[in-house]
Amino acid sequence: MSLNPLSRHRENCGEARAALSDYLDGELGPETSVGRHLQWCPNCRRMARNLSATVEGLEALGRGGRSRPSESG
Amino acid sequence: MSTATRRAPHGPAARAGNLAAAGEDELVRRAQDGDSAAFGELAGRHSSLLRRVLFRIAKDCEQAWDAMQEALLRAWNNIGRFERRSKFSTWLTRIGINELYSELRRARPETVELDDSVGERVPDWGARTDRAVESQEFLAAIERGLEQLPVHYREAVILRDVEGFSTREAAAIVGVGERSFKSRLHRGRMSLRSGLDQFFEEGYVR
Repeated sequence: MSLNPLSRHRENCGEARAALSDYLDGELGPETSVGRHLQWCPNCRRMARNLSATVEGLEALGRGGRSRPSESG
Repeated sequence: MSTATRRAPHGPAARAGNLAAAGEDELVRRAQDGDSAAFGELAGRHSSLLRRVLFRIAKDCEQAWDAMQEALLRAWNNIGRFERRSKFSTWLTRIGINELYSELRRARPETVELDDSVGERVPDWGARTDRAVESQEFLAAIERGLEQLPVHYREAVILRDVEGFSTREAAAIVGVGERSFKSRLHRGRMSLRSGLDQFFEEGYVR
């Protein structure tokens, strides 16, 4: 772990972002290092929100939002 | 039972009688005893899922149709080998994906870098993403993004997020361990998310 606060912060951001899917899928809770990091890092919180919206859109696609236009051909 | 080439059963006759009320275990058992109508009922129940998955993963619709027909035929010819350790739909989908990517899987897998933009400001998609995610424009942008993803990431995202398979089921369909699958899923999701930044930067959500 780096002693430089900025480098350390970025290391934490990198680790949190690598685990974002596990966090969003409920495999990691708010008490974990990812959850704690998200509580105070606005940048990573935005990324988690954006990733969550992406997954929600994919799920909406599966609920019948659209199909490929040429599918019936 | 013989695994020699047999024609996959299909058509209304295959769904006649009491088959519609039969449970999956019974249908599998009967199909393994050579009952083509029982296999037809099974195929009928799951062909919609197989079609959706293959058409979403494939960029070439003709390739998807070919893979679907080959998968049903292969499933019928190999139903005796189905050991019921997974759901029939999981087994059938795995056969379909193997058919679809039998050539691509031999190639070296493409990889995408994990674009986590550490050190850069992450764009704010706005306060109304909950309304945006159900919009046709957003879903169309996601579909365009899916088409750009390398196949190994695309299939992970489609199976897990679009079709709703569990991580365990989806990993079994793809034929990799859960850890490897989750890595592909995360990279696929992150790559899609990154591509959608532009959608919001262009001012969809006002």
